[in-house]
Amino acid sequence: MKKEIPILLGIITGILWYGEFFIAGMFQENQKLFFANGLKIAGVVGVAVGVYSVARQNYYKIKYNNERYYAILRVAMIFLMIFLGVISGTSSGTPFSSMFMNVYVPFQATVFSLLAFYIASAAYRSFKAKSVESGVLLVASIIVMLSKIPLGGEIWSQIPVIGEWIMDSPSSAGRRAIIFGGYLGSITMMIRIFFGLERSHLSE
Amino acid sequence: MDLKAVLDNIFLNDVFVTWVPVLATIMIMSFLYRDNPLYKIGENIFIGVSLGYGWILSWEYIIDPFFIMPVNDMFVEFHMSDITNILWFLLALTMFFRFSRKKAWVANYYFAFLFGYMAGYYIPIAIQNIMLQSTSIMTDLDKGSFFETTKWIVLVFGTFAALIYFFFSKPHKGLLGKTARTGIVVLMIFFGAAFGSTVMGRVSLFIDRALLLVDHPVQSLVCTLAVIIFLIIYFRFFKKDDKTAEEDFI
Repeated sequence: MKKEIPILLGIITGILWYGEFFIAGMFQENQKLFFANGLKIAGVVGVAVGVYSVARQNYYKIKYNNERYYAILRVAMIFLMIFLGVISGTSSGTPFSSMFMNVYVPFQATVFSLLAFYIASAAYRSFKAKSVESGVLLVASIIVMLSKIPLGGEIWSQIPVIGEWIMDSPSSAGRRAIIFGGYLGSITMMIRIFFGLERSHLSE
Repeated sequence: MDLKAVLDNIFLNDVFVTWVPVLATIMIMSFLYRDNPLYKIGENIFIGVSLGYGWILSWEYIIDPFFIMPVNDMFVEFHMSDITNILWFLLALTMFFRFSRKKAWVANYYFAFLFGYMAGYYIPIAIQNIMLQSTSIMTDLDKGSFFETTKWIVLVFGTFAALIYFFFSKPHKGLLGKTARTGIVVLMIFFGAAFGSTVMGRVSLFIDRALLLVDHPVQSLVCTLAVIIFLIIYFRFFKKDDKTAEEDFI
């Protein structure tokens, strides 16, 4: 009852949609709409679940004094953005968009730019050409970095060309292989769900 | 005075537009010295603003068109098909049972449906994508120049060699072993190139931040001094005990 019927429901839904791909006209348009509406409503309730989850987390943080003042600040900023969005709308040139451009964008850009320092620090400690493979990684990264700045072209005019070649061919080959692997892995996962073998999304 | 005009005066005036981005940048940069309250305040403002922004957009693009408008239409004219929407809504509400320890299983029905739908829908599409990826590189060998042709050869054989590296059903010996080793080299070039691109992306973001500070010298100077004074006072008088994990890490 708690797991068996849901698994059966999942298998039936999976078979129906798998079959729909191969059999033209298996579902009428209004039947397709029936499922599509279900997914749209899932999105609506998903947002509500997210809001409830954030509210709950912050409530407990404030109640049990787990970094209480930061949680209050966080909630205050959420309310401020909602207030601005409701009062002034979301189009450009409104206080809401000003908060986005002058608060959200600088914070986001700075947080990500900070990673430059940590990446450089990690690279300094870990980039040692101890084997052919690690040497290849080191050389490829140096060439790509040089190819993206004017200094690379000043050192040797062919560096940008080699950088482009690396990005377009061996790097692209490695990326394709990893994407293939990702697809195969996700297909395997979906097949496990399809046959009811994967149950991690179900509660006890 | 009109509330909208008051808000416009606060959030659209020059003081807000010039000082806040500079202060935000320096607050976050203060983390390079050590984890501190200014950084945490900045971090929490960032989280709050991004959540609020996301929710308002969710309202505009998800809740309003898929829930509010259909409900309004339902009150104007009720159709039999609206019953299915109500049923879907009730079923979707069972997602909230996930927050309960004892009744979490109630949500299983809805999650099973969603995952079953995704599985049935995704498998053919994923296979189709793999086929598309494979066929898109099977193009004419004559690319116009030797340079372009080598790109194609390395792309095709590099992808094949890297895939062979992930093939574990036979021991990597002989020709298979050599191909797998070539695959490792291809993957290493990819990782190196990905690393190089990421670093340059981050550096360009940093340059953008630095340019913002250069463009607003007065604000930058005042904010930097204020942050430095705060950090000195905080670490000298309020947080005397030691090094943080981040400092050890660096």
